[in-house]
Amino acid sequence: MSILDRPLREQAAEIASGSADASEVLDATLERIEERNPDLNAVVETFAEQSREMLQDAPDGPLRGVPVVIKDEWPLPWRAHRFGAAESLGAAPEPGESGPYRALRDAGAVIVGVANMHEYGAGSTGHISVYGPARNPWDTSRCPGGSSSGPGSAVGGRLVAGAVGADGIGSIRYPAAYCGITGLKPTFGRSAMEGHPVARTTTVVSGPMCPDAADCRLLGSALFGEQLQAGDVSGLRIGVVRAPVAEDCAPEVRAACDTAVDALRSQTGGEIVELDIDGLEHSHVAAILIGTTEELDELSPARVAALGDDVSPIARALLKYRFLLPAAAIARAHRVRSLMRRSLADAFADVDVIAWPAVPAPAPPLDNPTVELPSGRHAADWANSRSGGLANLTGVPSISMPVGLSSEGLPIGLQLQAAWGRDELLLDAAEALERATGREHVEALPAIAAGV
Amino acid sequence: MEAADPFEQFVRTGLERLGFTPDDVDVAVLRATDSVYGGQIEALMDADLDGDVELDLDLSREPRPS
Repeated sequence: MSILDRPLREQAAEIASGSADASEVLDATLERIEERNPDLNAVVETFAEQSREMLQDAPDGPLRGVPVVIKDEWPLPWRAHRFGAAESLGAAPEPGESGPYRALRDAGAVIVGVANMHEYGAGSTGHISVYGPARNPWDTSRCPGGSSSGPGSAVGGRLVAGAVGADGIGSIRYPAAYCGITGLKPTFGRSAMEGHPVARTTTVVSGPMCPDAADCRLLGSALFGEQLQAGDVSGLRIGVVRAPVAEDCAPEVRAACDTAVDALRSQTGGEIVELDIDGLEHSHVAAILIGTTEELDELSPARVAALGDDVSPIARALLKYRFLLPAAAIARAHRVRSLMRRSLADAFADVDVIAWPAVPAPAPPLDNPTVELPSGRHAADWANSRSGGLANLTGVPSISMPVGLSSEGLPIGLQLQAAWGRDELLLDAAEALERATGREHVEALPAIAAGV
Repeated sequence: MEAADPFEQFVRTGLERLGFTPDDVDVAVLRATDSVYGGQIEALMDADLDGDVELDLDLSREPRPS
């Protein structure tokens, strides 16, 4: 097995011990990207010279010499971010040392490429981007998820074993679920964010996207700037809800997630607790309203009107839509945010984690990003944001991990949410679930990565 | 020529008032978006919501007791 197919932590250990040569790992990674990326469009730019310089200067950190990619959402010293779009909404982006860049550099990691993303981060599918859509490694006619489409596809296709994504309304967890990997949306404010295009965001966080939870712990520790310690999850109290977010899902998704929750309960000797979360029915639209309007203070109608045809017509129209949203609805969304934070604080007095599907249906086709649910056929963006928006609205951490494959061979993801600051617990729980399932789901590979 | 329905009138008038020159794509995208989220926004506007907005919002931690 190539070292590139090993987990991030094993790559780091082999390089640290001297049993693998970091320069050879870098060259092999660049070759692999060249070989597999034409099918995936996950990585939009590589820069061998700068990667080799990073390796040459890499400190003796926990990720020394390990290749990773970063979403096109932060600047690098040698490259300005494009946010997946042809034109910036604000000031022209410039190269620079972003927070995630510094975190990776200081941990010794080697950034080998910039990963694709949904245009302006404004979609859960990844099917629109200035670079063209990234593709799902399990079926390249399917969406990889968004907005961290490239990180999801790159890790799912094992171009790299670690990627930095960003999560504003589920944007790490959807591609993690669609691409069969593990993605952590940290507690708001815990992970490096400096240099993000939405400077005063209250919803977006950076986070690790990796094959499994232990690798997310390693990469997450770099992004958090602190060691994410492993803990004991014995007696885990798992909250579940009887609400559309859990029940209005494709039957296969619901079954796989129910099975996983039961396996987690059994593995931890825990219990399943049925919850009634006050206000949950309004949390979805509240997350959308806040997440899509928090940059309006820096965006004028004149700027949007000046956007050219190189920005997608959908993005231009949706930007205009933001100016027509009722102010009273946005004000009420902030009230829902407070209500939901209080409701979750109450819920987390009774449970350790809350579980429901990361996405209600597996990855839809790129040319028709809709999903069939018991309630009917819906835009994937609507259905996904119903699952993912609560964590961004309230600030709590959340994780998506693979728990099975659909009858069409597409990954299914389970989402766990925990109280503020309990990111480590989510990683512990995910690792417990991996043990419960014999790591069957985190080690499953798409054909493109399995050499089939 | 067929008269615009109330939604289209709202979109075109609102966008023109903001200085845009709305086209049919704008109307179609906004109509589709409104069909998805419009009902939820109306329900939010009508909802009886408990509690006040946190004045000292800190999203990195649980809300302080009010």
